[in-house]
Amino acid sequence: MTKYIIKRIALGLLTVFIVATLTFFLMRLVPGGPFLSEKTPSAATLKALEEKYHFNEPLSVQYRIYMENLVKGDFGVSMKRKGTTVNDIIAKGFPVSARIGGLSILISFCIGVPIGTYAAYKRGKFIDKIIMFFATCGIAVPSFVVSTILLIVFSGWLGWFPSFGLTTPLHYVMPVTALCVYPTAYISRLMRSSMLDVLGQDYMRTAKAKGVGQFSSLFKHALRNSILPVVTYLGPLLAYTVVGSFVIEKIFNIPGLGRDFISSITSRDYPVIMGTTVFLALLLVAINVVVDIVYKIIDPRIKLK
Amino acid sequence: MSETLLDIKNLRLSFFTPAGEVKALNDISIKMNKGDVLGIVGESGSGKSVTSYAVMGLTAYPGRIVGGTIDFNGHKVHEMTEKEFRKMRGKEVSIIFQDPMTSLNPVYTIGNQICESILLHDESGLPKKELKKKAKARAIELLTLVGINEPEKRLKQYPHELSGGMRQRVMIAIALACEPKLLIADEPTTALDVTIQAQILELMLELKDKIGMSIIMITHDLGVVSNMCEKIAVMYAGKIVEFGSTDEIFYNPKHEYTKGLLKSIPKLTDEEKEKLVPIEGTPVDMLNPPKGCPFAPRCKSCMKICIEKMPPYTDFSDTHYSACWLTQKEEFLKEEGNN
Amino acid sequence: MSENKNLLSFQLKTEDFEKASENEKQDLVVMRESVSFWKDGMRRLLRNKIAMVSLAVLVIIMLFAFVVPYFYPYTYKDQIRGSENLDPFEYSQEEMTRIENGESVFPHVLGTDNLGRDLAIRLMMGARVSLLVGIVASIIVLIIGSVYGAVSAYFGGFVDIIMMRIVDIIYTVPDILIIILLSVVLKHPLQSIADNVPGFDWINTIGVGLISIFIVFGLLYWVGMARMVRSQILTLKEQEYVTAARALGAGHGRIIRKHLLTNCIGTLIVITTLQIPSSIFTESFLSFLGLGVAAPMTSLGSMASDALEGITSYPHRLLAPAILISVIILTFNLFGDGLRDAFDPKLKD
Repeated sequence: MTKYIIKRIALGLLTVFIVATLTFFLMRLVPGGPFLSEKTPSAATLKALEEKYHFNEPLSVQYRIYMENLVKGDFGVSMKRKGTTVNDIIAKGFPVSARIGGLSILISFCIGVPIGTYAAYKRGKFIDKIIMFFATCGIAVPSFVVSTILLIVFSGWLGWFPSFGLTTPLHYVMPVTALCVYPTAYISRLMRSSMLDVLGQDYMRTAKAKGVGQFSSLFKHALRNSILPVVTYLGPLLAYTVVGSFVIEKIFNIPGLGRDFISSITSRDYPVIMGTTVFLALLLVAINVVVDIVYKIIDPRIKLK
Repeated sequence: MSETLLDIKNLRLSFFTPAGEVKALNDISIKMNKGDVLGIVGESGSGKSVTSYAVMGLTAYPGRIVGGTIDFNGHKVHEMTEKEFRKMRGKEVSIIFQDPMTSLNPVYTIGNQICESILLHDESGLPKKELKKKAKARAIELLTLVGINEPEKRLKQYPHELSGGMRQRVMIAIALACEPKLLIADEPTTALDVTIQAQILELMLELKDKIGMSIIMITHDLGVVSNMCEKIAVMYAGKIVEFGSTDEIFYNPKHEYTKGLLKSIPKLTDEEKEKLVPIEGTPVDMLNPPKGCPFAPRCKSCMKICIEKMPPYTDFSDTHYSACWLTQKEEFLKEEGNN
Repeated sequence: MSENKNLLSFQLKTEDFEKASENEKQDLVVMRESVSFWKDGMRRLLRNKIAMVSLAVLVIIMLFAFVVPYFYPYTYKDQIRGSENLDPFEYSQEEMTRIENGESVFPHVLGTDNLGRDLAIRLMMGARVSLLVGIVASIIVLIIGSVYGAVSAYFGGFVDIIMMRIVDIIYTVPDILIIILLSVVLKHPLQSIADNVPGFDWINTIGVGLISIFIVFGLLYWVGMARMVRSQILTLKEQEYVTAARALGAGHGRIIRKHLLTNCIGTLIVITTLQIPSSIFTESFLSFLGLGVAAPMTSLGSMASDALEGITSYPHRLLAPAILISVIILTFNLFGDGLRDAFDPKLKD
């Protein structure tokens, strides 16, 4: 087990290292360096800038400085927002994004798992078909479509919810809903098929033959087995939520990390792009490592290895 | 004669699939006394498992009893509700499945799964804590009974940590937890090594005497039934084609299918090198069963009547009967002569 | 136990006990018509109503995306002066006078945008781009993934370990971040190639954004496919006929192509079909963020993004591409599910 954890963390660190390296060299690939796209700065400013960002040094030295800073947790300084470090931007934006993302992950689990279980339990019946119809539609609708439709209907026509910003609890309703639709639909489908698989297993027949009731056989014997694949989905779900937050925060104008990331792309603020990418990669990889380890813990079959 | 434990009369059971009605059981009648060991023999799909599952109300969707009665230990099984079944299952009748590898829930410990069965059917009304203690003690007792060493340690283990033979012993322990009147063993040794097979069978016979239960042994292995069973039902395509005591079936088989089965098992005692005779052909399509004898297309001595009409049962002794036109041919010819 | 029925009640005749001929016996064996894998699968697919309806919808959308634009009186980049911001079926002043003069003017079915471009044709072109991205990206994924997976599984051992470790690492790399990064970075080099290297000006027509999407799919998205193919081949290569082929002197390439990949073709088709909607999903998302196709070319995602500003006054401009993209993804998903049920029921997740 310890060996596995160490191996898994090592692989995770390797991934982050690769992403960081890739980010660095990709950014240096941009012809003429990152300053060219700006309004031609004076030679002096350019020189000062180059020195500040170490562009006058050879690439290997730049890479070393960049890596050293990363290890120290220093993601650099924004080029467009004067005087702001990337760390500041992350510290300000991430909690906002994490609140929305965390809330939507929680909600999609709390709705998706029971719905999927219920559909599996009622397999082939009308209610199962209805649930699966909506779930299939749910995974076909991109989050920007959901959010814009919500915006048109609930903010534009009905005026129930505020459309922009994130100041009151009411502000959370639409972005979180928009972010939830896809994962909720996906989890219910996953849960249903996993549940159906488990319900057909021999040990479910054993439970029935023992005289275990339907309720208890569903919740004691089936749920714990069938929820395992759903737990592994947590990793991809988190990635989806991070990416979804880019869109949601842009549409609802929420001051989160996603919006900062997208605006840094459009304004070519390279240190912010690089810093945010590495930070998000670190986050995703870390969560994936945790999910993998948790999975091994709750599935006793793999415990000994 | 001792008391009747199980009486199945003219049982008919069908699976209603999208492709049509599959008549899985066709007019099945079986009678078992307390303490009997009955063997049900037949190839895959002949309805042996379906018969025994029907006794426990375990018939899988979309199967349904369409006719006949099942009386078991004073219950009218064919009329029971799911709630009544739940009380009976595991307490009065238990089952061991074919594959011990998949029949235990992988995420719970052995102890948990044995105790579950005990706790479910406990009627002592003790407080929870004491009940659990009692269940644990009983579980240890059961594990010792089925010949598992270090039972206390095993209780905390998960199924994947045990070998196949061990798991089947655990399955037997679970089945015996409430000392059932009837134990159904659905090919309990098919998935096990040959050496383990013998141990498990011996264990079952031993426990049968200790607890005083009856056993239905479902198998396609004639060797197993010859050792264990007093009575044998030979099934083919959802029908009992021959029923009799072990001696009658082995030394005086009447149905062509039974004869074929016996010829297809190797005998070590034979002096000459006797050739094994396989039964040619494949079982019938249960979706479109023939109107005559289902075995007719594969039967070496098939007659015109076999294709046209289902043969009636002929009694040879109190315990021995079969359904084959051949056995009636002579009788018929005699009667014809008289007329 | 059994009722010994009176034999005469059966009204038997002596002939009944004559031995039946082989032919009579054979008639009893109702053989179901033996059908090939493909025929059987096709039959199941054709019987699946949802899949067939989805296919019909897809065909209609494809007609609109690939054929109708050639006959359409407007083009996606023509900016019609004086026809800016028209509502659906509204005519501009100029067009009204032309109609009064007896000319026939084709209506702007979905109106026009703020630059006076007809939205209906833009929607068709957007659908074309989305479909192309989905299909081309999936083919890229199919080719790279199946070859990689097949080679890894076929050679096994050390090769397999190394190749699968690479897959593991790529799998954990957060792909969408890399996609965003690459499409930012690749824009410039691709642009300069398109402008300076002769013979590469086609890049401009397709758009730099699209090319980078394809590159990224080629770099990252094939790992899922590779894993799937590998596990299939691992079981297939143990089959006797592979040993037989090897004994007959078939080379590695031939065995992989002829014997292994052809035998998991059902799985390949199903995964590829299900890959299409997810590629479309990603493309629309990137385009929505402004990282996809370059103007004046459009895609459904960028149309939705463009319409975001006027969301309160012109909701239909947003709803049209939004609904279309959802319908495309939904129908591909449903059709893919149908294919899976028909050709590879084991794959059912």
